Amino acid sequence: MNEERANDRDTTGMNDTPERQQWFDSAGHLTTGALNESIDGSLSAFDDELLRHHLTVCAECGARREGLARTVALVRSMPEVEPHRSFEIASNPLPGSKPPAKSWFQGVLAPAFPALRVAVAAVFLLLVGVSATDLITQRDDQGDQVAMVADTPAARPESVSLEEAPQAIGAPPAAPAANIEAAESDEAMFAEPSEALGDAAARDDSDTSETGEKVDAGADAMDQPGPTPPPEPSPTPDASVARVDAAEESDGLSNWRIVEISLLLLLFWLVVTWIGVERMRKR
Amino acid sequence: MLRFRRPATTEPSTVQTADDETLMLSAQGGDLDAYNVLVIRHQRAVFNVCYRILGSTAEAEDAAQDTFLKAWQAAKSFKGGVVRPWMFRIVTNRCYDALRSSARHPTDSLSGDEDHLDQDLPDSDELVNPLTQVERRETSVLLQEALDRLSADQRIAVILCDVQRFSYEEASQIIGVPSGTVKSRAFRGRERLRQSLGSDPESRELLAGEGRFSNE
Repeated sequence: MNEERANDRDTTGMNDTPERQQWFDSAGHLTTGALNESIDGSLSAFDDELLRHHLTVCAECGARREGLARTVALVRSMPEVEPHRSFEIASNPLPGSKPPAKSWFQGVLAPAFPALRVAVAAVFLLLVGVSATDLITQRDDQGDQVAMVADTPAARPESVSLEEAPQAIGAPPAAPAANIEAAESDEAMFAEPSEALGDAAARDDSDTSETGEKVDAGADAMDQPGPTPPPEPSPTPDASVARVDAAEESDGLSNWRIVEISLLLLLFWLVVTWIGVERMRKR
Repeated sequence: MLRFRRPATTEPSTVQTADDETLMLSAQGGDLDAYNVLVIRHQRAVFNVCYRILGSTAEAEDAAQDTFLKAWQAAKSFKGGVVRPWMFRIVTNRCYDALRSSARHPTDSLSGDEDHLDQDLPDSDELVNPLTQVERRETSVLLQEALDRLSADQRIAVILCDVQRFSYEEASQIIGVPSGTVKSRAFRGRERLRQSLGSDPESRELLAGEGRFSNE
């Protein structure tokens, strides 16, 4: 097409300025532009006279002009073709009038289709991320807890001697006789490790607990040798804190599960919607 | 100014006699009846341009329908002036699209459309000599074949300038190129048509008899 255009310029000379317009080509014949201008009758009187003079002496140009004039006349007299039908518009929303109400599916979801795709991808990535993080943290916590429990003497009740038991519960070492008496009077004290892990504050409130009497008995026994030293801080506070944290984290994990399930449901809904939109678009 | 601001609706009695521009103003106001009068007025020319450019009745009908629908939808963008070139700009754009599409997916539409062409030619001029009618049909077929051999640019230029008789200036506005380029394309297209018709003996006979034919 570019070649044709270049050819057009070469032969018709119509893109030249009037000063440069040449009605004759290099061989001395009239150009296509000159012949067509002549047929259109758009030449000036001087140019028209010049061309007519050339046509009287050049048979080749005369024949070309004759053929071109007949062709143009033929094209201009082409009969019109009758269309088989009318192209009137029967019913169409008026320009500027309100378009017909679309369904929610067509009006909201179909236009939001690209956003839906992004949303589905984002939710999917979020789920993958949450699941991966969840798995890693869960595994780490379990490992830490196992390590902590293994390192805590209080977590091994079967290996705790009766002499070490008060230390385990944060009480100062008492007289062996009183200790044995107290221990014999209440073996249940070691039955529940969680009780052994109670802190000093828990011990202060032990009067109101179910085992209050037993603890009092032990305390009385301990009071006998001398004045009770002020309660020392628990020798293993980190272990108890770790337990509490683990419990809180387990609550947090269960919340994550709920979020995960919700997101899964959302993902499912989005996928179903996506399929629906795709089907609608295909239709 | 008031003319543009008032609700553009035309009385049914005046719709048929209103000029194109008045009808277009009414169409801009949502008057479908006024627009349909425009459609009826121009549908034959629009269809013929589509048919001559695309060379297929079915494609021309689709293109003409699309054109009128697009023009209706784009009525608001009509800034005034003459309606016909504005409408033919939509026509040529639609035809360019169709030609590009058919270039990507070529079909054998022309060979099967000659029969359609024979049927399509108007028989309303009953007084015309039957021999002349046959000649006209043959001429039309040969011309259409020659037109189809032109490039899209040359074909559109020839059809707009010679068949629809638009001035070079109007054609340049329709196609969206300088008038010198339109002239160049039209002249080159005519020259090719002459060569194409001159090389075929049948066409040469028709060309030889063209003087008699066109004078009738």
